[in-house]
Amino acid sequence: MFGVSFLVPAFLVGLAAAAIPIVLHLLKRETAVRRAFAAVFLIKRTPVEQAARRRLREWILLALRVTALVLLALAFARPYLVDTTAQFGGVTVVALDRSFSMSSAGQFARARELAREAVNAAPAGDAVAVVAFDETATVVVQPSAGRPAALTAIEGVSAGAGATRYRVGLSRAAEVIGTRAGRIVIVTDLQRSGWGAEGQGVVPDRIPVTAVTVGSPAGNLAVTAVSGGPSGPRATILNGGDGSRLAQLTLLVDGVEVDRASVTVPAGVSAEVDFPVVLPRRGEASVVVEDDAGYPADNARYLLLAPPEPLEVAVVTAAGDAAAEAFFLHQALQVADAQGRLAIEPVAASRLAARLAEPGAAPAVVLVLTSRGLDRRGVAALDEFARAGGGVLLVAGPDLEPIMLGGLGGVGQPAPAAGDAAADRQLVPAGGRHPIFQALGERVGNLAQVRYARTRAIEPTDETRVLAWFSDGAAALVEQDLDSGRLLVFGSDLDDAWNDFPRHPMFVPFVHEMLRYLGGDRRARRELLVGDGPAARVEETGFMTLADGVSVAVNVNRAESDPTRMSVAQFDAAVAQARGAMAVSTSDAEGEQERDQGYWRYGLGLMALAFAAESLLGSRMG
Amino acid sequence: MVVGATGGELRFLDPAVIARIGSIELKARTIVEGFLAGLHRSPFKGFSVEFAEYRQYLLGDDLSTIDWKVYARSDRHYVKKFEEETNVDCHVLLDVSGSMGYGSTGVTKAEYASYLAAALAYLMNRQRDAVGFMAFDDDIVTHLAASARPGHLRSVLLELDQVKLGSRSNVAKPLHQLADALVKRGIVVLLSDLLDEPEQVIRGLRHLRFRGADVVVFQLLDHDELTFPFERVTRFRDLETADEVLAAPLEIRDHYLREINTLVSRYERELRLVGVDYHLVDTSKPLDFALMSYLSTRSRHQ
Repeated sequence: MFGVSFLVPAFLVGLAAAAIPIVLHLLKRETAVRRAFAAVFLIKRTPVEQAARRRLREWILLALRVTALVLLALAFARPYLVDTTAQFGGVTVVALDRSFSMSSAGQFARARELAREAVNAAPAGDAVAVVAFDETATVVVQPSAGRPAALTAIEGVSAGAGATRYRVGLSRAAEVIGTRAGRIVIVTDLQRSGWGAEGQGVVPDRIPVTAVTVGSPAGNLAVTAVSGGPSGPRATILNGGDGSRLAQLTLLVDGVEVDRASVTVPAGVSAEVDFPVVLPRRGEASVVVEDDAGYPADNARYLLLAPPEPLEVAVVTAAGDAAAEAFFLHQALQVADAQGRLAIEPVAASRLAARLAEPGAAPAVVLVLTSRGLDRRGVAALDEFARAGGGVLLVAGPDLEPIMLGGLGGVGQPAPAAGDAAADRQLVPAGGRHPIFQALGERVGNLAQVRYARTRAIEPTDETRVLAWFSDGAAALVEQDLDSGRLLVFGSDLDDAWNDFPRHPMFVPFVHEMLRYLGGDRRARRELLVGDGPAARVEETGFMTLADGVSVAVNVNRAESDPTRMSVAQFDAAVAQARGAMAVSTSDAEGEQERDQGYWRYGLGLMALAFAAESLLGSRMG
Repeated sequence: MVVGATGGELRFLDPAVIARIGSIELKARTIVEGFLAGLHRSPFKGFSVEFAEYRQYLLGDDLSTIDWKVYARSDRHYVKKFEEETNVDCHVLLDVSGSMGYGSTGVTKAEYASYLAAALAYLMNRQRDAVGFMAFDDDIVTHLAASARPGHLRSVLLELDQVKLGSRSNVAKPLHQLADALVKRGIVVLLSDLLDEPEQVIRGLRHLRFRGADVVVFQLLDHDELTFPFERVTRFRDLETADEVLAAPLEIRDHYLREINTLVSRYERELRLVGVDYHLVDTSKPLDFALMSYLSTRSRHQ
């Protein structure tokens, strides 16, 4: 049994418009005078309509007009069919966890069995729906009074390579229930990592959630990381079992086994294994651990071997001659350019706007050494470039006018204030964990050997982060996020004018790391996790080529290999925390149902036909 | 056509004026006297009972016809032979169907026809003709046999005064019935709008002609029916069938006028072929034209 409901019932008020043609019809119908006449049979012979036929046509015309307006109102009200049985009897949604932590031998078969039992145990009169979820949720069967469809659909669900996200599954199940009465039965392994920090409360208080537990495997070995170092690849193995296990590892390059290793991993901890193999510059490497008892999806980890692409850096000087205008910095950049790590492009400040406007050839980082020749268009282009994801390094040396930076899209707060200070200062990192200083390793301490005679005073704001200070307490290196991009401001000179930094060994690596940090996010990713994907969701592990031709390695989310389980009580407590209002979610579910059915299109089509018929009939009646 | 009539006399032939005169008898007299007064020199005077010749009495002759003065002088029985006492039997047939109830000038076609019938009866009676009267719609409503008795005219006029409109018309039916009943050649005057099936009407009139009657047909049509002067969109209701037709007169006028002219032309053409005097009468016009038409036919009958 199906009934009609409306997504936007307020538009049904428009049905009142159907009265307009009726009123007009009633007002106009007696405009013709009545006259008794003797020779009517002669009038009948003239090619005009008889009153009876015309009256019939008038009624048809009226009906068409009313019908068209009614259809218009109904189409705008967005009608859709709902299962009235489900509406009156409630809905039981069986949410089936299909993450790879459900993929150990026999585990998902047990999950299906429990799901079938949940379907059969649903109260008589309840409609039953089935939702399968991992990082996303799919409604496998819409609410239906019949049980066979749900039982059949459960057989078609299988464990994938995704990670558990309870909020996603429960939210989708609650959307299916909508405003009706109902309950959710979730069939899962109660993995703790499924309650991530992301997401908001989406399960209404009125919907009870019952957890049905599927047992977990006795143990699981997982390759959680593979990296390629100078001394050879390194793999990280996690033992999720209760006892220590011997992990047998195989290194494959381009599908060919190149090395084997074994390591005993204690219970619940990770171990690293190095393979004494020199990997090729390009290729596909993977590390596989033998584990029949655990989850198949995390038995292998994939690594794409590829040399780094050079980072394009535009160096902005007054005349565009960096070699002459910024000799020391230019030399430092040339080192990396020669090694293929950087691609340096000198740009005159006056041409910056035009350079950044060139389609498809934007640099990854813009290094601004001067404001001379940088007009308002150039500043606006720089701001737009940064917000679009680019990296900008402002060197607040003697050539940079602070007033110019104030216009950097309103993000010039970290701009240096006017006025120099003559003092003998040192640079002190605010913390060694920032990627710039982390990359320098133990050498970061050498930065203190540099003496800064003159600096710019930078006023930090709430939106900025100070990465390094001068020893007099002024900010030395400030970072600010600009939408998708990033801005760094260095509070002194990088060309031996205000300091002797270029004469120190740390100069070159420091400059390189700042540029690499700024441009890092723009470089093509070489690894994706299942569930990620720039265009389409990635479903399987291994190697794949994206639509834009970029090759990536696809691995599972290592958090899903975490064997830690919750008790049902802990799970219920987590559900209680996830509860909240879901008015939007409900309307989303109804909206999706309405979109699937799309009856409003038919309504508009019929309305157009009615108007066409009305026009045709009306023109014939004159 | 009015011969030698003056304006003052003619006004008594205006149907609108006639309608305001009291009784039907007075109407008839006013019409006829006014009509006769307007004639410059009537060729129709002198009809009366006149002596023709003497004839010797034969067995079986009416004794009342014996001229006793001649017998006294000659001792022989002679009877007086006269012209016919009634010159001719005149039958007035009046259509009282629903369609005759239309009138746009204050006088309906039925009223106009009744005035004309009364005037004709009066004129016939004045000329010593026997007058018969028949009113009909789709059947015979009233029928008075032709007679020249002195009180008969009053009976005819009384019937005319009391006549009411009927339903649908069927002109052919009374024509056939009268034709079957005719025992003597005479004049039949049909007063009708003839908004009927022409084929049937013409067949009925042909039947009358076959029985030797002189037939005069007055097709009475209202001025609106002849000119269709309407402008606004009108829902026309048939007076007989109550059918309704919604029409824009400006758009159908030409076609309507073609239709009515075709109908009139057909009556005129086909009735002339069978020897029927056909006259189209606009009921907004005076009645003298109709009376003149009758007298013309009457003179031919002598």
